[in-house]
Amino acid sequence: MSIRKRQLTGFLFFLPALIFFSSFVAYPFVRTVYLSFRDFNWFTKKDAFIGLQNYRDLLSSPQFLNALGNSIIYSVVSLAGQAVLAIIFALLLNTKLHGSGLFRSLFILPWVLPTVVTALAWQMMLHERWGAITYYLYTLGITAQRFPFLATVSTALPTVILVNIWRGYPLMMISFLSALQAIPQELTEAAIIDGASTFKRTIYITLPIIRNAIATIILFRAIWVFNFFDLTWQLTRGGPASSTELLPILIYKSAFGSYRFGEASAIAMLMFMVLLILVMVYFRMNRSNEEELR
Amino acid sequence: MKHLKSIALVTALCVLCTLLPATVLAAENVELIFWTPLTSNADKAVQETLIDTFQKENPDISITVEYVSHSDWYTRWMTAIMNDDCPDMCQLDQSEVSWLVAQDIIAPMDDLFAKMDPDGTDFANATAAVNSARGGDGNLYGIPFSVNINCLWTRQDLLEEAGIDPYSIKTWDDLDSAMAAIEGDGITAMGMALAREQCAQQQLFIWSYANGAYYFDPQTGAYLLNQEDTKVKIIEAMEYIKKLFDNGQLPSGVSNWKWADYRTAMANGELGFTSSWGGDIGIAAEVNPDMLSNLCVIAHPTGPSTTDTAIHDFGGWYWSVTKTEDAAKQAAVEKWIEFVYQPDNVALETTARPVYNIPVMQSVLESPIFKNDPVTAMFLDDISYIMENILPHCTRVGFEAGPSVLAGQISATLFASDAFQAYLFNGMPIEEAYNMLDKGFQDLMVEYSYPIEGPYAK
Repeated sequence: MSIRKRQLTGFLFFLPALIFFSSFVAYPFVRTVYLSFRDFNWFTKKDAFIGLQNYRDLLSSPQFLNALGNSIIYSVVSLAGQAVLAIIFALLLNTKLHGSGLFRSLFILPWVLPTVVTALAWQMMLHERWGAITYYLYTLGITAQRFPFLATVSTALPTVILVNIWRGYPLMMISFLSALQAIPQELTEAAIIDGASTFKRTIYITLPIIRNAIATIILFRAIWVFNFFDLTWQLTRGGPASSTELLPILIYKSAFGSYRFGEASAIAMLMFMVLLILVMVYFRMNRSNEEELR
Repeated sequence: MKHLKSIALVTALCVLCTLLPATVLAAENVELIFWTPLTSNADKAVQETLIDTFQKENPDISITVEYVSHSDWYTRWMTAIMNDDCPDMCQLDQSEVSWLVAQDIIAPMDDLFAKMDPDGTDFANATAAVNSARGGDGNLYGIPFSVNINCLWTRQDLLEEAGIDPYSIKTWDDLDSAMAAIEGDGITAMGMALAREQCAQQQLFIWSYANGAYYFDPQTGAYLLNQEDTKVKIIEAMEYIKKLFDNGQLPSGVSNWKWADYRTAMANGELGFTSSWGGDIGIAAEVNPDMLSNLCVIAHPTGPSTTDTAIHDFGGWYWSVTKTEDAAKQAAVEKWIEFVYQPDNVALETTARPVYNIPVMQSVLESPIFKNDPVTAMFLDDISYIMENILPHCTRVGFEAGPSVLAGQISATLFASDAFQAYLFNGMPIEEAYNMLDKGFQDLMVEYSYPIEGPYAK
């Protein structure tokens, strides 16, 4: 086969991926960038170039700043909660406990459930009239009344975060567990012979070895959580009083409530910039890992 | 070879025989498509019944229904308009009528309407609903067949026990006394939907109307929130709801309550009043039929700034038809529209969600289908009360003077809910909340090129 023919064959294999990437990633991205500089309303058919006006408006808009603040709190606390729970459960499941297979299946359940089901189930459990959680908190004397957690400004965001932690920790847990299971058995055995306690083995051997895996998984999850729309939308629609409004909700409202695609694109680009920082951190981390390995 | 020729000839004849009648039929048969956003199972069953009956009576017309949910409505329409692939007819609400008028897609229905109600008696109480589909050119672009009206639903058994005649509740002070008399012992005074998406803003508009505040001038459509007296009235309405919430007269989780929440609570006997579209009845019929005999409706009592009858918020359901030059289609559409407005057929549509769907035609009240529907039958007096006393005083924000594209956008966006919720639940000062509301309206008017002096100003 001539080189030219081989190149052509290679290109033909590459073509479907190129078409897919161009249609569903590159074009929408370029279009979003383009729209973010325009006053484009699909409904009124208004379309004019306005430069950075959308960005300027957003950065001085209380709604945007509120959503940005909420998104940061939501992402950081969710991730921290998910990571802590995931590490604890992964360490537990990594021991040779009786029935750990069953627990592994049970612990993964929140991740397997569709988001809508999760949201509806939590909404029911937290409902101030018929919710099991609000009922038990009240009957046990923990709350003075059947407290409407999702309907109170001060508790709505923390509640949404808790639900997100519950939903998101299993994926991290499974990832950590697979990293834990890749640790050579000899290292642990040597530490046991040297008299290291379980706690010390965890702190000085296990966690340092899986450190890179933890960081990588958390970074990936950060991107995911920052973009996550469904759960909060289902639980609160961003309310009450915008207390759970996140950036993806703001984009949705702007694009499909008001048809302001220019504004929505600008919010999406600002979100992209935040995520870009995370991606850069990831690449930097990856590079230093590679250097360490060399 | 000869054999092959015979086979070919027979095959050709067969194909011809099959195609000929089809071609002849196709030439005679008129196919009509309509879209509807009424997608519940009960609504679907009604559409199927109507289509079956109509097609039996008119074998030369075939009707296809496409169910398009509200969330996809505008996207589907825009795509259809771009591709010149619009349905021939549609069921829609008044906001959607006004949008289609702006798109120059739907045809006037004045002649058809005049034919259906020649002496103007059948739709006599529904002038406001009819006018909501009357364009700036004076033409009628949609004919209403039912309305959903927000009223106060209440527990007449509890009021009776307290010695209160429900119809004596005329003002917010009367309402306060009635609520105080029946609340407690597992009964919360008032339920309403105050969740963020669509609900909170509805209640803001409803209670503002009850205090005599129009958002747009009923004659010209001029914007009124920049008028001091309007501001006073709206602020009083906001403060009234805030007072109810702070006094524990609304359920503690009301900021997340959607329509189903108060309906279920009312059906389960946990509320004294609901500011409701009447869906309580359907839920009660399902979950607690014993409650049905305890429920009755009254007009919204008025606030301190008005002595007029309270204006009520309503959502109207209409039939509209798209423009066409095809005479056969026009004739078929006319036949269908006349068919669906026969009292029995409107009765079928309205009893799909009894009491929630209020008919606008007097003749429907006489329909055996309507009268014999078991749930409707229990509320015939309430329905008549609504049709006589409330239906004539209905409007919707943005429709005060006539259709406007703004109206649909007001309900699709969240600024009004956000302002109201921020005041009710997040401690935002009333002035700031009002300014947020005002700014939201003004931004929307600029965006949709709505003249502040009103599109109907001479």
